[in-house]
Amino acid sequence: MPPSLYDTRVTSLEATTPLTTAQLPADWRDLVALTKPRVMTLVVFTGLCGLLAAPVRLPFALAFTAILCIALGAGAAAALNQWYESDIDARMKRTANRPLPGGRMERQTALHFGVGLSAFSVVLMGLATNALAAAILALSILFYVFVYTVWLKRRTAQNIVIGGAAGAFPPLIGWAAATGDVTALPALLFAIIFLWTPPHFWALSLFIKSDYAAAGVPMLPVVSGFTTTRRHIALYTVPMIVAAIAPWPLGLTGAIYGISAIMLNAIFALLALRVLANRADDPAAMKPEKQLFTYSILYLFALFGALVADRLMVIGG
Amino acid sequence: MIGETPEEYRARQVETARLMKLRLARPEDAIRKRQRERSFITAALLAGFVVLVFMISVAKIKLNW
Repeated sequence: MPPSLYDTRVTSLEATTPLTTAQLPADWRDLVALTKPRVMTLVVFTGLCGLLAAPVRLPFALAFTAILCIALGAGAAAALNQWYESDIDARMKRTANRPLPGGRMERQTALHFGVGLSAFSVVLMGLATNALAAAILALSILFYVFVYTVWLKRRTAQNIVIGGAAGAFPPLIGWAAATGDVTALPALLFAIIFLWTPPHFWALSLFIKSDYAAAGVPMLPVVSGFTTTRRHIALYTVPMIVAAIAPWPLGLTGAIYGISAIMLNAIFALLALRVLANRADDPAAMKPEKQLFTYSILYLFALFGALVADRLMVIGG
Repeated sequence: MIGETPEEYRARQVETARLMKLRLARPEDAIRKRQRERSFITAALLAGFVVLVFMISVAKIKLNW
């Protein structure tokens, strides 16, 4: 009996190679995930605080666009970071399920998305606000991608000390978008985040050291051990506290910020000292490190929140 | 079909159902679904962008008035 039409169709359909997820056009949810939305929250918040702390009030549309551009720029930098680091991400538990190591997206898509979003955010920032804000935004994206991701991250244990500058730009951009210049207060805001980054990341890297070691990333606990990292956390906390309190005695902010900063920094110092006193090598026994990491995020939100409240009182009054 | 035994009829029904299932699971359909989703999102983003540019223009005109 000759094969029927059905038989032929079945054979040709069954012979079709199943499509892998990466061969499909990227899912929009994965494109969103590529921008690291959780990290973006802090970036947007500090950028907004820089904008609100400035003595100039921008019209809503321009202020909204400035914040949108900061968010898009941060997302673009995150996408380019993941494009470059997909090999490392695949070896770390924390990052193995990201769109690229998870096999849900082609690398080229991430690259095009990151470059396109970077260019769009910088051009839009320039058109909506001013050239200085656009230039700082471009600098922050380039710094994060080339200086931190490409150059430092795989080479030195000081990667996040210098690379931390990339995350410190948003308040500077927010301020520059509103005023068109950069003065002492936004420079101090930059310094606060710059000096906050090492204790924040080192606290995290202490309890996920094995992940970094498996990926071959030379984070401080991997290269120099737990004791040195704990000492470094305590050491870097000192200049961070000085920078955080400085705006008050310098007359750049009022008592609301000053008192809040003293209280928040006292708790930070206490937690950093508890980390210094801890001798544990087992992540399960690293409660002080986990507490410091969690508190450090809250600290930055609260400190910048206090700054905005203070400045709004000063400007409003 | 004429002259078909009940068993043959049943086998044909099962085969047709299997083919329809295969047809639904074609890779082309998955690609089209993704493309449709992405076009909706792109259209929404473009519309948002047009509104944003309009609002930026109005704000800039007011600033320089």
